[in-house]
Amino acid sequence: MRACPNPADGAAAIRSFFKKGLGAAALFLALACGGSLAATAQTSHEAMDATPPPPLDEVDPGQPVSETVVDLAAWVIASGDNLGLPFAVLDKEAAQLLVFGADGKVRGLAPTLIGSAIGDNSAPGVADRELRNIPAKDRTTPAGRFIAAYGPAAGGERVLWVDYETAVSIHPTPDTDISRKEQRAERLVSPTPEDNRISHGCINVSPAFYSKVVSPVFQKGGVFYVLPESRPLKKVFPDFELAERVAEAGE
Amino acid sequence: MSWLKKHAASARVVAVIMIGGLTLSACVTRDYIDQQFSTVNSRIDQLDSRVQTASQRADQAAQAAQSANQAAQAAATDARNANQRLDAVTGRIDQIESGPARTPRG
Repeated sequence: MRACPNPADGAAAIRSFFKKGLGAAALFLALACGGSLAATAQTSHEAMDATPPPPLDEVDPGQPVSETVVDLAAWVIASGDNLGLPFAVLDKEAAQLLVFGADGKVRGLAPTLIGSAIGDNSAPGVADRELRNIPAKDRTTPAGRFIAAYGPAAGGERVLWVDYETAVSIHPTPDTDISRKEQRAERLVSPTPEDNRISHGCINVSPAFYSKVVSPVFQKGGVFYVLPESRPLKKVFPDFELAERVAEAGE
Repeated sequence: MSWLKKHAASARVVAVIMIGGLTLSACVTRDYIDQQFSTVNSRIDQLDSRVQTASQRADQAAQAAQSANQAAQAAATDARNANQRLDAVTGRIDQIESGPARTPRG
């Protein structure tokens, strides 16, 4: 004889079903979310491996990027003057550095500290002098096109040489007593370029910009274009000037 | 009846609310980050756009100049020059990498 189900037992079964159902739903949701988050994390990781990190912009929003910098960068890309290497354009007057990947995409924009003296040449023998023995007038950051690469420096370090012959490198603002006394970090973040002239000729950027942009982009070398401030542009970059004239004539 | 059995239903509800909350907060955080990135990168994007536009203009001008000046011959010469320049650059990078140590100018 089959037992007739008790209505009270039926209600308990329904409650139990819903409780179990709720539990199962919670478990499902947890697994789904976990899976989704894991998948998202994996996708992001893969994306990061395939694509460079987002560009970094450290320049004060009130400081514009000059047309000359944009035109020079455009000419480099159009003419292939960088020969497939990453490149950077330094605007000494604005104390700005614009870094491009080998693909011609902007990787970062940052304020810089540069040589305290105005001028586009390096004095003969300046690379062999002790820093304190470099006369104030010779503390220039030279203008021109330079093949930059990592190479050995005194003290067993490796630095990114912009102009090895005249000992001009690009590095983070030094964490030294002299650097603090010169207020290099403060000069770098101030919104004006006038106080950015403090080095003996080297180019300083913030430690963050150096580690996130400069170092990874130029690990295998690149080209630096340093705009002149006292010499005519056409003397420093004759091919660029010629191209500009051709473009103007075409228009 | 153990404590867990007694409060099983409440525990499940709390778990669902917590998981839902975490999911929502993750969405909000991602939106927030996206928004922040787009603000920070807007100038970089504008800059990229300015450079690319100017680059296309320069490229067009160079092409126009080249077509007016025996394009094929010029292209062949350019390719040879580019190869020579690339060799020179590679040699230069090797030279710096293996050169003697010197003191940077601060």
